[in-house]
Amino acid sequence: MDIHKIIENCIKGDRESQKLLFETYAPRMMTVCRRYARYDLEADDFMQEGFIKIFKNLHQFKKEGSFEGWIRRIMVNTALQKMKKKSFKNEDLGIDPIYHQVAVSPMALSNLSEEEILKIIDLLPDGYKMVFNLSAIEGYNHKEISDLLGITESTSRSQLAKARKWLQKRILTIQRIAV
Amino acid sequence: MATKTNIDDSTDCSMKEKIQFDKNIADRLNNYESAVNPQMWDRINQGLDESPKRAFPFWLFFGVITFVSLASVTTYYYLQSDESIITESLIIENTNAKIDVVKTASSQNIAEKKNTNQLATNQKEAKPISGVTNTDIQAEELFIDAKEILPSGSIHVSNIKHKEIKKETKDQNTYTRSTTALQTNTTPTHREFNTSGNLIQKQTSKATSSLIMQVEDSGISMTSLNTLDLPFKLQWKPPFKNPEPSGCYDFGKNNSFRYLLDLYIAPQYSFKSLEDPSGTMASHIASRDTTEKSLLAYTVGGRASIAMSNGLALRAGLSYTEIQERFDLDIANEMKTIIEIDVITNGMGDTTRIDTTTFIQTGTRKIRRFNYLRSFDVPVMLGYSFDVGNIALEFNAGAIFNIHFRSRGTFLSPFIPGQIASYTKGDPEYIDVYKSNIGISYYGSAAVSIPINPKFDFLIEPHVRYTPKSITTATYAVDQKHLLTGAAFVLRYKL
Repeated sequence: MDIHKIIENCIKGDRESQKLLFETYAPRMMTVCRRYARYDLEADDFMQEGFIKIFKNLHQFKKEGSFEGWIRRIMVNTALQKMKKKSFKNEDLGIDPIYHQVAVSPMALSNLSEEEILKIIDLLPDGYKMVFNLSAIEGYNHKEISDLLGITESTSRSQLAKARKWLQKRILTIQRIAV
Repeated sequence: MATKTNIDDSTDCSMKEKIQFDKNIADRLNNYESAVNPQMWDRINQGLDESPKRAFPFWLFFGVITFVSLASVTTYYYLQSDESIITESLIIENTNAKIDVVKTASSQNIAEKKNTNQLATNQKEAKPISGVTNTDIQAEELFIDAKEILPSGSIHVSNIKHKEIKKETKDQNTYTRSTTALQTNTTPTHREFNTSGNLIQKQTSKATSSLIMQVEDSGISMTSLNTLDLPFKLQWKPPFKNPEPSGCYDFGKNNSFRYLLDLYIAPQYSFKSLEDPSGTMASHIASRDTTEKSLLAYTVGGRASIAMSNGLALRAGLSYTEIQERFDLDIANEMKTIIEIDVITNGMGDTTRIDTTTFIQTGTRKIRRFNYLRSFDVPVMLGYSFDVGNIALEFNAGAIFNIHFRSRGTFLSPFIPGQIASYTKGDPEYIDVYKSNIGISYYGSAAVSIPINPKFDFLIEPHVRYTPKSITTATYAVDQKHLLTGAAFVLRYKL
């Protein structure tokens, strides 16, 4: 069935269409939620609340853009709201390690499964994880991130750089162990 | 070892590599499908059935409180308007000028003391207190309306206090005597005499303020007044009531062809300009400028809009506007007549003597009246709105078509310098000053629209309304124009 037709039926409150829409997008949205959540139950909460928001605000979707992009944004915003973005401002990030500039070959990354990548990301300190998810994967710019998280743009840049280095080092470590 | 070399050699990670690293991870994760809790749909399904738990909209609460408060205040003033064509006619006493003009003794008939412009009021004799010993008797007060026909033809009404006081007494030979003020600006007194007729106590309650108002607007009990021997016929007319203010105005949001309903209230300030096209009214205009002061103006109304997807909206509605002004005038060397009447009774309650004393005081009379200009209008305008983040900006421009214009108030006569005139229809001093329809006004505004929930928006709308043509009639040789500016607080419902 055409996605727009499904959306129209969802707006009318057709529960079967809503279920169909949920089943179509739920696995990918679950990945989104897992990237932001600190544990599985929290990811479930993001998922549940996000989809309820999606169904209740479906009439606001303008058909010009990508529907998946729209619901992904709602999921991200829901996760950020739930985690109370202001808490990240004062988060204790611990001692910033000085990471060497390293390069990770595409091969090194391809040797890891998506589950392994998710687990590595999950190990990031929360502040780094938020900024990395929003910037590297969601594609937000630093201005948008600063607005979303209530931090400065320079903090966003700094945390992204540190998150990236942290991940690269971790991936290379795994790669070395594998070798 | 090879791996270590790889790390060391890569200390210069370029921006391109960084971006590629991010992209590789994004590509891997964006389409990755994680396992979903099998009970997830049931939980969502249940959540959709539940009534939404919305955070309490405090700002809406305060918005409604503000709206209701402003509406209450304006309604209060609106309802007060009949009585508040009020004139505070205050004579500042010059005690040095107090002259005992007349003193009569043994006057048996109070009515004989009435002059043509002195109207008798209810008189209440004091009751004897003989036989009452060591008993507390409460004071009794009665307010009596007195009237005076002024040379201008308006009626001078004052609240004069008739006071009868029975005091605790141990002397059965003491009796009371009360005095009753009979006319405008009189001062009622209470006196006590002993059996030999010597004054032992005198209390004077000065009625220092009085009201001048039109009988039909005064709200005074006609029943009580008609019991008086008045030199004119009183007819009851219901108090003036303005039509209920109707709502009108609005701004739209850019959704695809939507209907919007707005309710608003707009506190405003009125800038008045008086022009002298004939070149002969300069002194009159100057005197008006010094005696009239703009107070609060406001508009309440409602409007409906058809908003199109391109952001344009057509709006129309109905509104009520009131401009309030204050008229202040001081008249020096005014005279005030005070009559004191002593009713002397014996222990049996029989009146033995009535003594009347008349004084004249001079002073400055201060007159304050509140004027109103009221209009019912139909605003028609074109609006344009666009979103800026979570809010929307809106611009409106259009015309306001007057349905009816009404004026009530006092001003200085354009014909007799220093004389008070009125532009309230029906007044004896009435002069035809204002039109009953002031035509078209121009309206422009810029608004910020803040969404409350999917159905309601709250707008703050600074605006300007200008009436290009004079609102005065051709018979009054002064052109008067108004510019109203203020901010409307709008509650918008999206159909």
